[in-house]
Amino acid sequence: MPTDHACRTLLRSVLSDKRHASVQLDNDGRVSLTTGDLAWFGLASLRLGDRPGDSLQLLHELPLPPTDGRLVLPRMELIHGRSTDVHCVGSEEGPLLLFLDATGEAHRELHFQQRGNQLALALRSWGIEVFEERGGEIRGFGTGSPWMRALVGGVGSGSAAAGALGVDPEDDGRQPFEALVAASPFLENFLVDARRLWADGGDERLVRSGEWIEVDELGREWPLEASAARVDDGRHLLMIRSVPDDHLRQLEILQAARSRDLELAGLHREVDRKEVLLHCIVHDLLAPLGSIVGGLSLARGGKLPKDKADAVLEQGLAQARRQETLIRGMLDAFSAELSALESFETDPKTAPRLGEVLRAALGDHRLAYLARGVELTLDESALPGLDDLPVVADGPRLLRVFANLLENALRHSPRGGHVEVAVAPAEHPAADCTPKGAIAITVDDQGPGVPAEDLDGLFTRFSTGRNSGAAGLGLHFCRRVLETWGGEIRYVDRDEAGARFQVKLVRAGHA
Amino acid sequence: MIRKKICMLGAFAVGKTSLVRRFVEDSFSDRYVTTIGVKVMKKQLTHRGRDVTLMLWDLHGDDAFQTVQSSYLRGSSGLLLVADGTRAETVTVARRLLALATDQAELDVPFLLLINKADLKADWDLEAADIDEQLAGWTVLETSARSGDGVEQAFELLTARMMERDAD
Ligand SMILES: Nc1nc2c(ncn2[C@@H]2O[C@H](COP(=O)(O)OP(=O)(O)OP(=O)(O)O)[C@@H](O)[C@H]2O)c(=O)[nH]1
Ligand SMILES: [Mg+2]
Repeated sequence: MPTDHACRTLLRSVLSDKRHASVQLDNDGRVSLTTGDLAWFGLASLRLGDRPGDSLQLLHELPLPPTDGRLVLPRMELIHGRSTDVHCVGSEEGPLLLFLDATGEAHRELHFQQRGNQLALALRSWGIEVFEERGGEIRGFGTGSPWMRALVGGVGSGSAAAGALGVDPEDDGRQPFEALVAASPFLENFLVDARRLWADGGDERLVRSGEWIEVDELGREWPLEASAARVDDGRHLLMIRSVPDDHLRQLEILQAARSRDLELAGLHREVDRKEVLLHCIVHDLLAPLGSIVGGLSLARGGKLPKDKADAVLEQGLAQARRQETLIRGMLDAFSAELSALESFETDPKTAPRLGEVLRAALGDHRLAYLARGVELTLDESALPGLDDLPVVADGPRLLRVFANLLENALRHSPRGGHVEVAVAPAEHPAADCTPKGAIAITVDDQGPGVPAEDLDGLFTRFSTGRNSGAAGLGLHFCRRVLETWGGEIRYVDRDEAGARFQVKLVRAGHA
Repeated sequence: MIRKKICMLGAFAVGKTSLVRRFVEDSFSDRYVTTIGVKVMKKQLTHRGRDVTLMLWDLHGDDAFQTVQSSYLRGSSGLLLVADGTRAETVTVARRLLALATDQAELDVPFLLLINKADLKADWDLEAADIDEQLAGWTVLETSARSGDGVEQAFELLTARMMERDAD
């Protein structure tokens, strides 16, 4: 039924911009509110005089479009010829309540029943509950709106009442105020603010609770808002209304704004990270270039004796190689971020053979190890037939993984040390593997191990500790690619014995 | 029956609602639905043989759009300040909200700082050193509403602190 909504929208717009408003009665006892005559100030009590024509205008038929400046209270009936106060309680944002009241005590008595019932229906259809505070006690009008029933019990009849104006007037669904407070710690808390407003006077006429949400027994959420008001005639009112429209509108706006904020923060972070990364990369690339340039300048002109020149060139070459390794590592890291990782072999016929890749990696590092006087061995006794063992991976990248680990191990090995690579099947107790058909490859060195404080970020992109000098990219790359293949990499603490990196791979055809 | 009010305080999207949901219903959703206003959830637990009902006030996030009213904090027995490990600035918001609680709401109650989203540690924007330096004397716990890690412990620790405070 659009009228109810139209009324609320209109009333809100009338009250919100503090325009003038007037209230009218028609011959059928319907009331309408028209913008125009009466000064409006947030919270007011309007008097409809007995004199006809006092700000009265003619009424139009229902339903009213929300913009024509009129409000018709649904099914509101008044007794003609009486002085009637129309109280409107509004706020900057909108109205909370419009209610009518006969001023004469006698009439109040006489017509309370009927008027109360009609009013209750209207309020109920608006999802508004009104309570009055007198002498410290808060009593309800008892309009029995669906949300209130749902909250404090009687959910069944509450949903029947959700048919708004279709409710049975006999079934007024009153609930004692205490039941509501018992159901709502939020309301209980708000009452402190309400009582403060009622007690100490001051200029303030209205306090609002802000929105809160109650969940009924069926798990439905009811967005509510409470307001406490002091009306001109000295009454203390507490109004609670359900605000589903406001809620949805706010949610829509805030959700969009916050989601965008989050996205933006994410982008900023990404940019920052890239900047740091770029800085590290430039730094890393520059370092070996120093000795290359130095070496070449020395060698230029042929004045050095041949053996010296060879040594200088050899050194420069080594640095150039180091730079090449760095650049390759960076490319890997970036492609790890991109999507180049998606292709890898799972078919046992074409998947890379673990033995071949391992031997190639060891072969590539043989010389570097020799030069540093570090021994490099492969223990495959626990898993014979390595050369014909297919693993889920991409061959060249798997080679990079082992190369990374061997370079790290060498970098941290003492002269005369020993780096051992060992392979074991998952079934083997030494392997300590969880996935079925997994193979564990360990790389042990005799260096100082990874200090405890560096462990946390060891496999993240900016880990600096052990891996410094290569923008912390190597182990990050290893983790990313291994995880894509269903494998993993971890660091195992061996106390004084040195570092152990353990890689787990899945046997192709087993995954 | 002992009732204790705990307020969840923090910047938007740090995971206040998710932490409460994990603790109360043991569930989690990746979908972000921002909280408008306040929602109070209950959870019963036993602390040293005594039944305690926690009233968990899940407040909306504090930002330019919605600021937390100090009246919401009234009557709290404890506070859970929540920050998001992937957004360092949320620690600053948590500190500001603690100031609101102590200065404006005049609370002097036990509180913990939860750095949430521990499952995203690889993307964390916070260094342990930052936390130590900025938050000397605070109890800082890492949680993940997503995996559940640290969540129950956090609520239990705060409950223990609140109960200790009562005993004093
Ligand atoms: N990865 C991860 N995501 C989380 C975690 N906790 C929350 N999130 C996600 O972060 C987003 C925000 O979570 P909420 O619980 O709604 O955050 P909130 O603090 O209640 O947000 P507001 O109500 O807007 O203040 C959601 O997308 C959640 O799925 C966590 O521990 N890990
Ligand atoms: Mg929330």
